Amino acid sequence: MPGHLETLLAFDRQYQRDQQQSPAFLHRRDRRYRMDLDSRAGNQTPDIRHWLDQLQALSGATPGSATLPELRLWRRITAGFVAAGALLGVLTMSGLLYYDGGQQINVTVILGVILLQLLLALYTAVQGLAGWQPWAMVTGALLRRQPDIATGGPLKPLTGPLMARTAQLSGLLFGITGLITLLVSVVIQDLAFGWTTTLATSADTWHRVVSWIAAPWSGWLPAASPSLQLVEETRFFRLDSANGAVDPARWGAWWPFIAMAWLSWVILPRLLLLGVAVIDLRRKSRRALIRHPGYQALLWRMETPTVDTGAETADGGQLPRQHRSTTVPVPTTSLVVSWAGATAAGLLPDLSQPLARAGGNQSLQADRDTLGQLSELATEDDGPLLVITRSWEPPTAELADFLEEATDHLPGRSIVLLPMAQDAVVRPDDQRLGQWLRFAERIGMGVQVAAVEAREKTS
Amino acid sequence: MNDQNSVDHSPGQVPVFAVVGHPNRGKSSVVATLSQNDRIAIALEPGTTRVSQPYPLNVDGRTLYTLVDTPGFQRPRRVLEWLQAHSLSASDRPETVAAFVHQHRDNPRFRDECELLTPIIEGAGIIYVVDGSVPYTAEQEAEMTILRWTGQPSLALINRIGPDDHTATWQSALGQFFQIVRIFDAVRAPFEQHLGLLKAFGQLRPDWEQPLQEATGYLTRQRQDRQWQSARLIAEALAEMLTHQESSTLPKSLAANPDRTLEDGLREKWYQSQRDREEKLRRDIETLYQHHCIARQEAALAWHHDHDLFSEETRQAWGVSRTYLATAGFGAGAVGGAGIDALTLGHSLGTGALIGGLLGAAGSYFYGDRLAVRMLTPKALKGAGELQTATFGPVQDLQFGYIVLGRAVDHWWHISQRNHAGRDPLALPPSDHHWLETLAGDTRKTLQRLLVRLRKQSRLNHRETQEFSTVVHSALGGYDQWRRENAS
Repeated sequence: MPGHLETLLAFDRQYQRDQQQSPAFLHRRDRRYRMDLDSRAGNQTPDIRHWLDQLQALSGATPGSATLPELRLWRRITAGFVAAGALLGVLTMSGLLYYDGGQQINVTVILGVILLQLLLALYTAVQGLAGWQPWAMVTGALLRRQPDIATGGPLKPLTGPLMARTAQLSGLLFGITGLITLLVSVVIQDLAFGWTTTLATSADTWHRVVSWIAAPWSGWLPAASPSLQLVEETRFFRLDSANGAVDPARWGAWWPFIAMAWLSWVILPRLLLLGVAVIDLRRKSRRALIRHPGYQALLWRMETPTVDTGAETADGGQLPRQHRSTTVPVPTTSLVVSWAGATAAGLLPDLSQPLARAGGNQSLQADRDTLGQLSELATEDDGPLLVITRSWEPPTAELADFLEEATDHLPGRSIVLLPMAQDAVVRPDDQRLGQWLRFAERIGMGVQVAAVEAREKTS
Repeated sequence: MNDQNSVDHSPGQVPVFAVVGHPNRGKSSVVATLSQNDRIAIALEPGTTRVSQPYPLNVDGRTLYTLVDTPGFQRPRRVLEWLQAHSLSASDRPETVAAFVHQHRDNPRFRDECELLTPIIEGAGIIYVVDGSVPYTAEQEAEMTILRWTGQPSLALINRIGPDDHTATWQSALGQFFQIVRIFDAVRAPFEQHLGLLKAFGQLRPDWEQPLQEATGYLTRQRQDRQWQSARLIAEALAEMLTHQESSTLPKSLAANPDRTLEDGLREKWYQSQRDREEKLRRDIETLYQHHCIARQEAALAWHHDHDLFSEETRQAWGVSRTYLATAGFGAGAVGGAGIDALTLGHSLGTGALIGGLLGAAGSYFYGDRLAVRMLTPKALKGAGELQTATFGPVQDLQFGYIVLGRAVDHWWHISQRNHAGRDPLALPPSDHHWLETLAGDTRKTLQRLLVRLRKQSRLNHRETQEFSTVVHSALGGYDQWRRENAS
């Protein structure tokens, strides 16, 4: 099962891909996931890994199957370090146990190496927990050489803990191969251990030191805990060749202690600190995931209902096209009809009688009556039929019907529409005239649109 | 209505509201505002037949209500004549209207009337829209009579499209035909009025009240969420702009003696990059509020344009005083605004900052060249190598942060207040005093602290990033309050 690190990296990849998607789509997708989850499993906290797996599954990929390039690189780095650690373990122990029969193997040196290993393990642990990155230059250079890995990605703050885990693992392998080398050497060689130091140390003091080192196992494995007698007997001096009095088998009696010391103070601390490094990496990966810029946004998308107000609905309406015709001057005529209560006070002073009325709230029959009266009154000398309208009112199909009927009642007579502004002597604005010109073009029948000449509005 | 657009109008189901009226009386603008859709063509050609268009409000795929934009009445008197000729008593009127629709569904003469009456006879509530800026005329009484004959619950909406006001006469006339008469300016009505109107729709029938109440709750939450998302977007852009660097890599031989051209080139790239980032922020905010068709007056920015990010006018409008900067956001008295003079520009606030020279005559228009921006020339770089890099940025002057923030907040406010029926270009005029004065002391202090952090090019950590979003959110709220106080 993928860990937090894999989840973090996969989440970051998904986040980068999502940057190209519209926020509305992302909200729909993630809200849908949450609703499906609720319907299947009740109101449970969403799991990012499950969410990623779901996305992968919907895209036809096997969830969790893809190995991310960042992880591939880290696995290679770890494998390299582990191999180096294992090899170094063999070499170091072989070096420590090098015995040509001339002089005993100095236990003090081996204890020094154990102490060094312990200190290294502790330093690595502190470095990992504190987030120091002593290897940043090396890992940075390696990352930069990978074309499919973005530098400064989510792994950047985790390089320290990652490196600590790798180093602890490498140290563990170092310890294990070292121990194996020791055991093999004990079996196949006759090793002679002794201890020596330039310091003025008595065998008693040295025995206290080794007893303290052996404290973890002395209670249940006394054979691996050197006695004072063994310590006294196996001290040697470089320039002292009088070691012949000691039983040769005594020189080999140190190996159980060395093996246990190596196991307890090199391998077990490494194992323990490797566990700490793994837990620390998991904790930091999880924290990095929670602090990822996309994480809160994802939770928000999952928790927040999608509200679609119809904002994306396309409108099928047609916008006005450009009119082709232009207005004509107001004609002189005695055949004038007021449509829907429009008036032309002051514009047509020659008209003595009230205007004939049509449209508005009067009945269709009254419109027909108006047309009938006009056809009776019409003479050859009369001008066109002038229909006065309100420019701000949109021309409707009812007016078109009226004009059609007018051509039946007044055959051969041209029709002129006169849209009026609220102030009769002012020319309506072009936008309003435009709708009348387009209306005239649309209905045909030779209908024209007249307008008063542009003048300053009277106060 | 065609099958593709058909919606469920059955009583007891999802409330449906047919927005009807005379042609060009603002039906579409009402729908555009309530559905937050600025793609709806507002000024359609009257008389060109169109189909009814439903605009459902869906929450997690569940429809809470549907608005149906309809074509206007074209032959109301002819329809009324037909209805009157086929009715015996008041009780058969709804049935007669339905019979009219069934009989004339395929008749092109009555296509518009059938389109607008279909949702109503299927149970939709009636939202009858009139234009309160034109005088009342009795000719619309035929339309109102037909709608009354349908027997459906109805509400009249007076939408003022033009400058004149004939609302009072419309109100008294409409009161005779409709249960509820409301005034609603689709272009200028604030969001609270949108909610009020939707709640009024819910009053038309008892079983519509709950879904409309629910819908207004979701819309309110959506608006609050958008303010938070805007704050995050602005904080993100501000952080990027304050830490932005331009760099140029040169061969060592050329880098040894960098000339003015190198600095000027980097400076120009830096300016353009900042403008592009601000433009992206604006697009993001507009997309968030579902404004897709905004024409901005500063669309084609040139460096000498008054509305440019680096123009002198911009500095005057959005910069803050030197005292304000020096006292960590607690500056006494005027924060800034038009006419202030004591600005920090030209004073190096960051150590090691090299202040660029003036671009000759452009200086009087352009405050950008007086900003302290860190410039590292290859000469100043240590280390060897065949290639060396010169960098320009980040800006060292906090003034720039306040200017970017002020412009972003102002743009957000105009977008968040803009109704989707609005078609005027977006204008962002400067104001005569400074908005920061309305912010609480803590907000100002936190803002200043985070801007200082960014100036040092420190990456904000997770907590600071959240804090930055929160403080920008407070700034948005403060700016909104300041605008409202100024308007009242």
